[in-house]
Parts: sequence; C-alpha cells; structure tokens
Amino acid sequence: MAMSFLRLEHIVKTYPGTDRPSVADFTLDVERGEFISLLGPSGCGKTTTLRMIAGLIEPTAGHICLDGKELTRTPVHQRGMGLVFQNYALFPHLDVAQNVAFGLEMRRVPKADVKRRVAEALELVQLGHLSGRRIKQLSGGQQQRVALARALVVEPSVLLLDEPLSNLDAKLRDTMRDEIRSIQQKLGITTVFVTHDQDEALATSDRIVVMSEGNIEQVGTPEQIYEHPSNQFVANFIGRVNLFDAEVRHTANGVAAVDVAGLGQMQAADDLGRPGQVTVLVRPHRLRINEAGRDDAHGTVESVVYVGDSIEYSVRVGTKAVAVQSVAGRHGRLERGTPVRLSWETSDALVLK
Amino acid sequence: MLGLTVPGLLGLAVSFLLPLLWLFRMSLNRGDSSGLIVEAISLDSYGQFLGDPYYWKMAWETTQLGVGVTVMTVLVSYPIALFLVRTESRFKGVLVALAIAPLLTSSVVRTYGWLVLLGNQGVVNSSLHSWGLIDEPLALINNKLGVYIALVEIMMPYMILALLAGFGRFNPELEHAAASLGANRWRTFWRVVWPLSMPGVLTGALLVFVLTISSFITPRLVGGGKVFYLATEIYDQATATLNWPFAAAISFILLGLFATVIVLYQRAIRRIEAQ
Repeated sequence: MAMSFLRLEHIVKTYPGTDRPSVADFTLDVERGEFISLLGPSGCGKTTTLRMIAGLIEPTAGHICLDGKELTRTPVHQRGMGLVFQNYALFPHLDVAQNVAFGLEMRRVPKADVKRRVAEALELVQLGHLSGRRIKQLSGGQQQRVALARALVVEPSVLLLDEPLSNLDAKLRDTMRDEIRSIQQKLGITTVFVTHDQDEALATSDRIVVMSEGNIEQVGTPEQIYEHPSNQFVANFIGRVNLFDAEVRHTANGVAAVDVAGLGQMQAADDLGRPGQVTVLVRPHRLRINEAGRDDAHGTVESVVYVGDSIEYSVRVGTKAVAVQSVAGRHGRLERGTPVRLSWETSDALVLK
Repeated sequence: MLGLTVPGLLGLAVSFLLPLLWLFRMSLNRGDSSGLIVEAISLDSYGQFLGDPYYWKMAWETTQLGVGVTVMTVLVSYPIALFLVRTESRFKGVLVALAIAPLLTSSVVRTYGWLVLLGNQGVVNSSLHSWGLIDEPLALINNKLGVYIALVEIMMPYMILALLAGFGRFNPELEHAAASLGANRWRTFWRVVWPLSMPGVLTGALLVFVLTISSFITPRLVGGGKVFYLATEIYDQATATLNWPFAAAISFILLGLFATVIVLYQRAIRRIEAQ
C-alpha cells in the first residue's frame, strides 16, 4: 500500500484537570486528494482532532505526519495548512482582497503575483466583484466564501474545515456544501471536514470518521457507514433507524434467522455469524407496508405525518412503535387505526452486535 | 427621550458653561501688578502670554509632557492589558481589579508615595547606595524625570481600562487565523492585534494626554517648584501672583490645546471606523 499523505498515529489529547481524554488513541490515514469528514455529536473530540492537525492544539501523545514528514512539533505558521473557522475569523480591519492576500504576503509573494492570485481565488468562490468590500458589509454566505478563498489562495497542503456551514441558513448550507465539494474536486486538495451534520458528511465525503467521546466508532465510505454501521451508536447517529432486540436462531451464508421481540420470525443480513442476543437494524424507508412477503408482522397505524415527498407512519407492533417511511402516493394514505402488515427484504435488515 | 437630557444639560449649564463664560470674561480684563483687576475688554493677557518666549517654551514643554507620558503609559500598560485579556487564570477578575485599584487612591497620596520612593533618602537611592552602585544620590525628584515617572504610574489604570474596553471585541480566533496563514507571533501582533486595538489605544491616549497636561498636583509636588507647566502656572498666577485675568487667559490657551487634541482624536477614530 502506498504511504498515506496525512497520517495521525495514536493521537491522544488529555486536557489538564480532566480524567477522560478528549481524543483517545486516534489513528487515521488520509490519502492525497481525499475528502474526509470527522462526524460526531458535540464533545466527541472532532474539533480537537482538527486543531491538532492544524497545530493549534498540541497532542498529549502520538504523531502527526504529512507526506512522510513528522509534523507534531511544527508550529502553526510553518505547517502550510489552510484553515476555515466556524465563525470565519476574517480580519475586520482589512477588506476582502486584503484578507485573501494576507497569507501570500506572509509568504513574501511578489506584489504582482499577489494581485493575480487573489483575483483568481475570489473568482473561484464567485466573489470577484466584491474584492474592495469591507468584511462587515458581507452576508454570512459571502464571508464564508472569503474565508474559503483566504485559506485556498496559499495552496495549502491540506484544507481543514471546522464546521464551516453551521452558521448559515438551511438553504445556503446545501449550496455551500455542494460548492465546497466541487471546489475540492476541482483542486484535488486533501480536505478534513469537521461536522455534526450527517447529511453534510454523507453528501461531501470520500470517507467518514464517526466519533464519539474521543473514540473512533467507524471509518468508511458514506455507503458503508449508512448501510453497514458497525454498531448501534453509528446506526443511531446516521439517519433514522428502527432497532429491534432479537435472538439469532441460526446463520447460513450471511443470512440469519432471527426471533425479533414482538414481531416473530424474521430474516436479516448477518456478517457476524454469532448466535445469541443481537440488535437488528432496519431503516424506516426500507420497511414495506402490506406487501406480500415471506415473513411479516401485524400492527396498527398509530400516527401519520405527511411531509410532502413521503409519509411517515408510526406503527404499533406489540409494545413497540416502529417508524415507517413510505413514498407518498404508493398506496394512498393510511388512516390512524388501520391494521397493517410490515415486512422487509432480508438484505434491508442488518444484525448488529 | 430628548426631555430626559434637560436636567443634565441644565446642571452642565449652571456648573460648567456659566463659570466658563465668567472665566472668559475674566481673561479679557487687565491684571494690575498690585493684584488689582482692572475691568476692560482687551486681549492684553493673551498678548502677554503669546509675546513671551518663556511661555511659548512652557506650552511646548507641557505638550511634550503630555505626549511623553502618553507614549510611555501606552508602552507599559499595553502588555499588562494584553495579558489580562488573554489570561485563562481563574484569578482573572482579581487581576483586573488589582490593575485598576490605584484609582481608588487619591493621586495626592500616590504622589507622596513617589516622593518617598524617589527622594534623596528614598527607597531607590538608599538601596542603590547600600549595594554600592552609587556614591551620590540620583536626582529623581524636583526635576522632570520624577514628574514623568510619577505621572506614568498615576495614568496607567486609565490606560489599562481603555485598552481592556478596546480589546473586548477582539476575537482570539483571529490570531489563530493569522498563524494558520503563515504569520509568526511578531507579524500576527503587528498585522492583526495592534491595528485592532487602535480604538482602545487612541481612547486611552486621549484620556491620558488630557489628564496629564491638566494635572498640577503631581508636577507641583514631585517637581518641587522647579518645573513649570501650564497647569502649575495657572495655579501660581491665580494664588500667588493674584493675576486672575492672566490665569484665565492661560486656562483658555490650555483649553485650546485640549480642543486640538480632541479634533485629532476624532479624525483618527473616524478613519479607523471608515475601514
């Protein structure tokens, strides 16, 4: 295997006066040009990890290597990484062009080149027309673009994004998300993106690192993370899920016959191949209502929420409320109290440890 | 809203504007060598001041004192203010209170404190002497040096307060941003921290300059009657020579100096805010 571009080796960060490390034994290899997300709830250590890569926080233990060179003790201003902050941290006393030029001036780039490269960077984020504006005259989205241009103009080895979208309104967030991804693809720049928003992570990343309480829960492509979460935490954090207590009867060829509490005999995909008590995961939109299947469970519609492109039902099966998402118009709209049968494709249910 | 300003404006008119008018009227009278005030409408007192190189020199030295004390106060207060803003110590509140606590003591008391420290038999001279570093005591009081030292210390709390207020809006993330863009600490300071602290520095400088050139107790006591500034001269003319018209005229010349500085300050602030 080729040597990875950015390598984090057993990184630990324990703040003085705390027992539990904020980041515990974090190891990760990032390939050149890869877009990787650190995803997790607040306090999971994702921002601390990003800041250790940037050099703003010194790790308690471990090594950070870039392109084969040890970087752990290199001060921030010599790391050559581009950083975009959650609050953008634009210099209020400088205008847009001066903000973008700052990093080039620190590198003593000749004046004529500075001008050209600033113009190019602003073009890249579609702000060419605002180069003379003061920062406080810009909208949130525009400030975000300036911050991105300022980080990119110095051609950093790695682009580090610290929740860059969390201060934008929902619509703008999606636009900026797609734009960041397309700029990253265009430049082929290695990017580490910190977010607590699973949709952002799924939409942008080549790979996602799901973190909780300082630990890595799972590393994988968006598909792997979504379809094959390695544990309940990841399953719960990424998208909506139904989790059923179940017992594996027997497993053959990656398919387990399971006894699901309240539902009865069902089948589920099983990579673990272990008998005994397990959890079975089924996404709400993978559950079928009133379809002829081999195994099905009987329940009653308890609530109906119409959200435009789909209808979200809560179906009572025994003591359990099961979330079901169904494409609107597929079988009309079921009323409360309607008795229904629920089923799933074997491959749509997953046995978790 | 406007009605609420009436009591304050009335108070100002009675306690400030009327005496000022009276003082202006006084400056137009003629002072007699015997101490008598001769009613007149004349600019003789102003002429006496402007026609005498001695007073020009005094005005110049007063301006020098104001600028010198202001610059030195900025130099010694800035690091303290920066430390107080940045510290994550749980004693931060206590430290800030300590830095501005000298305001609780009268400047007369603090001036006497400096006399004790800087005098010929003072703490500084006797220490240096006992360590064998000097034979003769250094002249630290009854001269300009002593006045500068004492005034800088007396003005520091005002400067620190103004700087802290100015730093209040400073976002430490800006320093991180500068560092991530390749700026070392030195360049981060000059390109980011210092320009952003300018409003605080200017406000503190205005305050300290005005307080310095109008202070007379400290120059009087530490100067030992041997250094002369406009404020001490006004006092002498009013109480010793009893030439009230002349004292009033110098007061208005000093007021003119204030006005000039305030205009300069507002221009500078406007330029910063236009950014």
